[in-house]
Amino acid sequence: MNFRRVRLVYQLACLGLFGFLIWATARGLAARYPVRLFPQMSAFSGLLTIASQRTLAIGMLLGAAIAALTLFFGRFFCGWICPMGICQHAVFVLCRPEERKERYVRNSYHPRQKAKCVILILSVAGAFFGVVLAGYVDPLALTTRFTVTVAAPLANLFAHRGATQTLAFENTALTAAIFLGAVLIALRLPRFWCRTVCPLGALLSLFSLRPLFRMVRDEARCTDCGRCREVCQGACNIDKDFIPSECVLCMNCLDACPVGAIEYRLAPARSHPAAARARGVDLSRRHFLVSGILAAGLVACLRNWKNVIGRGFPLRIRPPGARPEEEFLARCLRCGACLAACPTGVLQPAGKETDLEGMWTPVLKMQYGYCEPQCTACSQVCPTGAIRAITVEEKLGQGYAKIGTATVDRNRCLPWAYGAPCLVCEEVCPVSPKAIRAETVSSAGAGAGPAVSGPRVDPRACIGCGACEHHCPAQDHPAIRVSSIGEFRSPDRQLVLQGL
Amino acid sequence: MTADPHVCSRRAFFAGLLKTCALAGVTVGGGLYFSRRPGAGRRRNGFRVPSFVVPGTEDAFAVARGSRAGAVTRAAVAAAGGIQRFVRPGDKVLIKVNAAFARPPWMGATTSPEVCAEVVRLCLAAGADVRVTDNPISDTERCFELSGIREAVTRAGGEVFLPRPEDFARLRVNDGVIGTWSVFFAPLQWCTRLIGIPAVKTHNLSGATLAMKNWYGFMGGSRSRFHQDIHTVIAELGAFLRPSLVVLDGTRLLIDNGPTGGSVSDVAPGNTVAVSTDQVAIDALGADLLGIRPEDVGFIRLAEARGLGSADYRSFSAYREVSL
Repeated sequence: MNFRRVRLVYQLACLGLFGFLIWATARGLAARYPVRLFPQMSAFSGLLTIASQRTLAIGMLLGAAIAALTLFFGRFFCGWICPMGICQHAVFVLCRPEERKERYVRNSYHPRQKAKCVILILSVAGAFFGVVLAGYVDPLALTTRFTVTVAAPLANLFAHRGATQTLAFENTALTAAIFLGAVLIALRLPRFWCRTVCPLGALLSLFSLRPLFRMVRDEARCTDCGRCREVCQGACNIDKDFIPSECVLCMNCLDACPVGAIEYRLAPARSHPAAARARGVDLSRRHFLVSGILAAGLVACLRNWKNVIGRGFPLRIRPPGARPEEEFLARCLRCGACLAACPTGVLQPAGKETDLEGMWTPVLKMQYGYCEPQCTACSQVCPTGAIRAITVEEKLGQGYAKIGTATVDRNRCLPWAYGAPCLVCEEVCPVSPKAIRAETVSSAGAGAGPAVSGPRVDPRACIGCGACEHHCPAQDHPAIRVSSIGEFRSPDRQLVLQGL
Repeated sequence: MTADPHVCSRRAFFAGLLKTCALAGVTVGGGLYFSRRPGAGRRRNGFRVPSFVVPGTEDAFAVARGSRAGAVTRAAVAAAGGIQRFVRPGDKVLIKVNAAFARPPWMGATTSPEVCAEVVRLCLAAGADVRVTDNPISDTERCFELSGIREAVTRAGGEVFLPRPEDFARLRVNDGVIGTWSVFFAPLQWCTRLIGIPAVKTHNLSGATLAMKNWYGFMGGSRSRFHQDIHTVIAELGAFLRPSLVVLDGTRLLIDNGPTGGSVSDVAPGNTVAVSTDQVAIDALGADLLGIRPEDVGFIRLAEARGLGSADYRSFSAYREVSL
């Protein structure tokens, strides 16, 4: 039986499904297909959310299920399902070195592969102190975000023959650099990301220290030819002291062995001599300590605890249904599913609107669009519940729609500053009765011409949807702008007294 | 076999040739692909929008009242002389609805789907090819989805045409306020008949949004600037686009909080559909429905002064009114 081919079919199917589900997300088909499937497979991100907030979306238990299955079958997820793994696998297969010895060396276990465990410890410790960095290193978040914010706009550009782009995302350079860097490095170092960096792989490797089923080499039949290691994807030293936690179940060794000495079967008993030769993760106490100290430093650098939350960041306007900022940051994967789902394109991956921790979280930028009152697309596709799944009735009826407050800049506003009629903001305001009302501009209209009216915002009626800012004729720096003050989710960031 | 390294084998020669050709093909193909850049509003275009008025129908005017939108629409068109008067077999009919906002039909911010569907059916029965379009303020897809227009039109057998960037070009509209503007020209170039189905709504700045203002949807670019001289712009649009027919959808009226509405209390039943080729008369009737005196509406006065039509529709010889 050709195991390699079976695995390849699974990989291609998973990659296809991955792409299809992102397409379905963007086409608003969230109700028909399980669009949240792939991001929810990340046990790593789930662990970080728990470490930080002691809470988890039900769907994220899919990651726990995969971790549980890993106890029995090993890291099948890495070799068969993960889109990040598939991309690296493909790159290496296409540019495999000719020399057998070269292949043997590259696919040998290297001590630097412990680094992924350090990254895992670092992330969990950081999360425990409230800094969640899943967006930088979680492979599922990274691949999804790359597809949504880099690949999809590129495809869109081609669809319009390079003339116009109807899909555009900001702040994509680092996403592209991390993803492409990870994939390109696999040209020289096969599956470098999986072996050395991936914290999800590290977590799953902890679950596959002694899997029930694993590769077992019959030492009596083995001729020590080394062909198995030449084709190994995990660098798990199958031909010597096998390390089950590094094996990604690529199954290449099964096909490569000329004498059929390797089998995937029930692991031998612990007392068996073959079992003794299998190694686990060896991470010394020093490694553990160093990563702990690094994590503490990271936390200190990235966030002066709660001091920045609730202050500053006026442009950190979160979509309706977003949880309070602490919990939002802990839950958000930075996968970009919400960005793909947004029909107006107003949702953008954050850059300077927040800090390094909030990188790529969704924020509304009204240059691109505005929040449609009758739409809850982003909340329907969020895999972690960072954006609570709300209905249109809940959004409009219970206050979720209020994401900020608009302010008129009278120094730029056509009627106020120049005495010219406009009131586009009042026209497009979707609130009923309108949150923007016309008010006679006293300075203008006093002369010969008819009276000119300018806008005034009612801060209690305004929901911060940004329709006014998006359509303001002062396009480069709109004369009416939304900031996050008054957002529904923060009882403390309010502008007006309730009973006013 | 010892090969002279300077001599190229036949196989190597063909392989090299093939690779070179493939590379050249990809380069030239890619260049051509990107060189045919569609305009996206940047290109000037020699296209001039013709008048779509069918000779001999200038005086048509009919009003029908009743609660069932489809039947009222049919009755109004029949009273104006029947659809055959305006659409002939083989005509390409472009229907411009008001789908400006992504809002459900009950909010009254968009043309009612029943009236759209009825007009589509009438035109199809007259043997025409029908496309329905608008270039809305909100996200296009969601506007046609939520307003129910896409579903109604598709069921009736018509086709919804959504604007793409390449359907816009800068055209010389007139010598007035609009001047040269990015126009949603592609469907206008395609059609031989133009039918407008405006909704009847109040408007925060212009007072009302009716037939002439409905042509906003053929404008691209940053049309929010139009607000600076809105009455003149609406009158200029009325002069720029001369439709074969206007079917005023007064089945329900957005009487407050226009043009977006948003609550049940903003909408009142209108139970009226009016049909005419005279946009000024239609707009005067729409203003009456909203309880605004036509002479108080700036763009109606301006359009009448330009000779685009007459606001005094009750004195028309062809005036017909039917009640169901």
